[in-house]
Amino acid sequence: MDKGIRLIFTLLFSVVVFLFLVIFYRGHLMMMEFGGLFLFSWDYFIETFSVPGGLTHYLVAFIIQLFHIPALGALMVTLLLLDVSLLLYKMSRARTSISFALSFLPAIVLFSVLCLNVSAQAALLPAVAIVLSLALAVPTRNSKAWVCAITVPFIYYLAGPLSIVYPLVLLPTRKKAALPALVVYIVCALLTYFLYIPNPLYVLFDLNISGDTFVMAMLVQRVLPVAVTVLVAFLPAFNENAHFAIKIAFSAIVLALLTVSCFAHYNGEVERVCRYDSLLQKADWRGILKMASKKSPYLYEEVFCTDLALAMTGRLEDEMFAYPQGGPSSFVTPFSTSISPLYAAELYVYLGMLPTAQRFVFEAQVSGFVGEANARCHKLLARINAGLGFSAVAQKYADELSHTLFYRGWAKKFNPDKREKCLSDALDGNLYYIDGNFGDVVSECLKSADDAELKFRAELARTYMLCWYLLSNDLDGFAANFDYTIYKTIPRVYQEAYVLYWAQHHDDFSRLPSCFSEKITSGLLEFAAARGQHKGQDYLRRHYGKTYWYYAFYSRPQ
Amino acid sequence: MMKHLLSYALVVLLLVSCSNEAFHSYQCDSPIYPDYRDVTVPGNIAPLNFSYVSVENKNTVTEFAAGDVCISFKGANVFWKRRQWRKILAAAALTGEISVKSTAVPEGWKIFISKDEIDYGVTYRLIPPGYGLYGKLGIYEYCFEDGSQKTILRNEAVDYNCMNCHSFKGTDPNYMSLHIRGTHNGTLLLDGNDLTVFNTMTANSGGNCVYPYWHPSGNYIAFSVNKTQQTFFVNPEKLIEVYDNWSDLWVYDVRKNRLSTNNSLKTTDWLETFPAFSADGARLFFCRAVARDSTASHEDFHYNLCSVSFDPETGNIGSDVETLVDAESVGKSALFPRPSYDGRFLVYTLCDFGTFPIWHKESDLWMLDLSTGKTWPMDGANSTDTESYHSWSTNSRWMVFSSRRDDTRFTRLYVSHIDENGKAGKAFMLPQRNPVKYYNELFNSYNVPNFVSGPVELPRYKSIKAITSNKRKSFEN
Repeated sequence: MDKGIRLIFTLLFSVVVFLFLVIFYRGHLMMMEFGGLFLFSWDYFIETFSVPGGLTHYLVAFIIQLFHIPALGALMVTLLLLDVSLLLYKMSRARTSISFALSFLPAIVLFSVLCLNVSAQAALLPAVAIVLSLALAVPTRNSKAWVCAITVPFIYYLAGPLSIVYPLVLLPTRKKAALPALVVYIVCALLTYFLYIPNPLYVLFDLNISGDTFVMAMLVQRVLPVAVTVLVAFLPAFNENAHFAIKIAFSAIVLALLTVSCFAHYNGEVERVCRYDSLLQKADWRGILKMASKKSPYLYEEVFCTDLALAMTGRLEDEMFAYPQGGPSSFVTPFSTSISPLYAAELYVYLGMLPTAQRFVFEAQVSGFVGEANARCHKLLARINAGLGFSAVAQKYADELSHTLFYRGWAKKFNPDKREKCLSDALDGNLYYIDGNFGDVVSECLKSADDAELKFRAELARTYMLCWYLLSNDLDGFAANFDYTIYKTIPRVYQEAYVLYWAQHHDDFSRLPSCFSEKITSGLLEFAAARGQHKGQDYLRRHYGKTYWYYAFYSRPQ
Repeated sequence: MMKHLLSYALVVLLLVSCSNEAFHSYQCDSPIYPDYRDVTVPGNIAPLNFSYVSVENKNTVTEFAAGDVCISFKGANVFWKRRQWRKILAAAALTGEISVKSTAVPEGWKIFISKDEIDYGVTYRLIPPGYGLYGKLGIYEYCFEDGSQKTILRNEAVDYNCMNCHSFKGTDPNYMSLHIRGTHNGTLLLDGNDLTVFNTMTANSGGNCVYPYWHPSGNYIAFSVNKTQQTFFVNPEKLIEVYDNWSDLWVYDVRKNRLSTNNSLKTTDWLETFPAFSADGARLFFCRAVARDSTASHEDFHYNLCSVSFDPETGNIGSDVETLVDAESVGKSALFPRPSYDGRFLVYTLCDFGTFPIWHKESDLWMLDLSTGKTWPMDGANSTDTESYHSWSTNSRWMVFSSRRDDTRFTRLYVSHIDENGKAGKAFMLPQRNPVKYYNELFNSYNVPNFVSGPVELPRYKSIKAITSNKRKSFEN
């Protein structure tokens, strides 16, 4: 009967973890994968392995790369959590169903911490798994205290500071062995402190942090799994003949804890941003617009991706104000430490502003939003440098990706000699990009650019430039660059803007070119009348919320 | 439970064994990488390992001969065993050259072994590309004899602050300055055994001291104080322009902890930067350009190479500013003056305009004969791409410099022999165990290479404590 309970419990645990990761954390997993780079090479192994705790970091990087296929990554995490739990159960004093259920508690805490911030805390899982494996494998019940003690440096090197678990889990059953092991652990920590990176937090808690990071939260996330693991090891031997209902109750409580911990840290906003980001990577514009139509975008990343998706599908000029807009800074991101520079980089690649794109990728690499070496940046840099004609540099980035599991194919097909037309190719003289002059820069590039050569890029750049002027409420800039004669049908947003500009500079619409719709001019007059009658912003939003006029007068971010 | 351990070990082994051969990329016309054909190297250099560029060279036989020693290799990679290399170097010390025959390069080539010794090593910063932000970077030391690299200080140890502007008293590793930028802003000064971190900004200087250069006596350090900005190009093939809104020169008296200058070097009409003391310590070289208003274009700033007298006894700077190279008159900028320690020559970087030649493709190294005033390009060292920062060896017979010739993006270090007439020999890339692999997989650039006569014994623990404690001794005016 107990065996049946355990089996069902294990299955339920695995299913909950797996499904939660696959369904709710899918975007998160994929974004993490984009931000890392695991290389199948001896050098990479040696480099990672050469510091205490290196093996765990190596395994973490290996697992994270599998998040490329979220189901595979979720499976790996599930298996590792099961591994930790089963190992702990084998260490427990009495193997009862209650002990079995309780041995899953550390896994739940680990999973909970993992869900908080997967990339930073992922090292905990393999670290604890390694430590527990060694705790069981090396010092058998009959081995002497000195065997346990000399094992510590070995474990410390493999698992890093978290190897504190090892002497602590020995305490309940092997007190005489645990104390020397604890002493050796302290010696190891001190030696590492002096020999490796003299950062006490790094050495003692594996906190590789900058001055701005909130240390206490990270510290708790480190200490809690260790503490719960040790606590479970200390639990008394439960009565094997406990009532069936009690066994079921314990199992149910643990599963409930798992479910609560899953959703306790679930942040829908973050997940949505992650999904937008992964769709952006795949250039899945339809997917982005589908998401945007389901729930109105309002976070910076959502607005940015939606605008880009609209532009790439040729709908920006008609529909941009059908979605909330965050002003010029969320349309074309200036350099900032609070937003990943990769969004701007992606946009500049599409626009053919490759030198600017490269600048933003370089900044992204060291910004902390992604790892310094990551597949996403490497792919972008390979493409940008090939586009600019720096084939050797492009090949260098592709070479690195050829050592990966999921980008190997891409790297082999990559052509470093494939030059791309830049928006600025025909520029006469130097032109500098200053954050905030996007419209003027694109305008200058387009003056000398050959539209036929640039094709879609010129069209996209023109759209972005005009929309940027509109979002900046710079109607003069818009009008100066807007040539309505090139359109068969003038897009709605442009008509609204130009008609407004016309109204501000003319007495009436009598001389307005006939290509502008009368419906638009009468719409503007109605909007103006409604404003004059002080009909209130609610009324205006209901009737004109999707027009440029409403944005210009009411919703433009200050 | 042993099976658990074995399964972890198996996973690791599987991961590693899955590695495949990388593609290799290099941008060079040479059949071998690095191009060690006809280079002049010191007699104590690490093995000059290289690979044939073409993959068809798997059966290539390469034969090295010096005196009665003959060593041959088969295959695309020529990777020396240390013992073999020492043996042929010893033989070549007598003949002065190693002759190389290759089935892939019928004309063969020579490696010239100079009798001029080279210093112990070179220090440099390794940094990933970045402009407004900085990631993992560090100051390292490379030993010429064994080709090994040792860490002096990495910024992981100091909360990822930026660090650079490391400078030595000549090539003496016991006297060093290192500037830290970020939350632990300050300048670390190693003065023999004394280690202090300074706040170099004073009320009068208006900014932190950068671009240091030690006086030969060790009693003074010349700095410039620069209000630096950067803008980014939209144009293809260009990335960035770094420029100074204003800059002045200052001299720090190490003994008196006093920062002083002269009105001739702290002006609003000129931008002064990149100080360097002459070998005898009696003159201070620097670069200066006319300060223009904000409407001026970057292309309007042209720096001349100048010098001014300096009294090593009193630390006083003279007012007799003399122009040594009038680069402005030919529409160029002369930057990074580095006088040889024997007092004969000075090498500077010449580019089209501005103060930051590092991203100027046209930047080249130029030699100035200090006795005659004659100046000429260092053809042996220069390439079609950027050559920028450089420094002299103790005996003034070697020059290490950074260049982007390898792939146009990442700077690499090259060493060139300088003969008694100031002529530069063909430069060779810093040797590595497997250069193709090493340089291809290195996504960092080399910065500010400086020769050192011995290993840098920076007390790491003490330095980190001093930097992160944020306790700063202030420079005084």
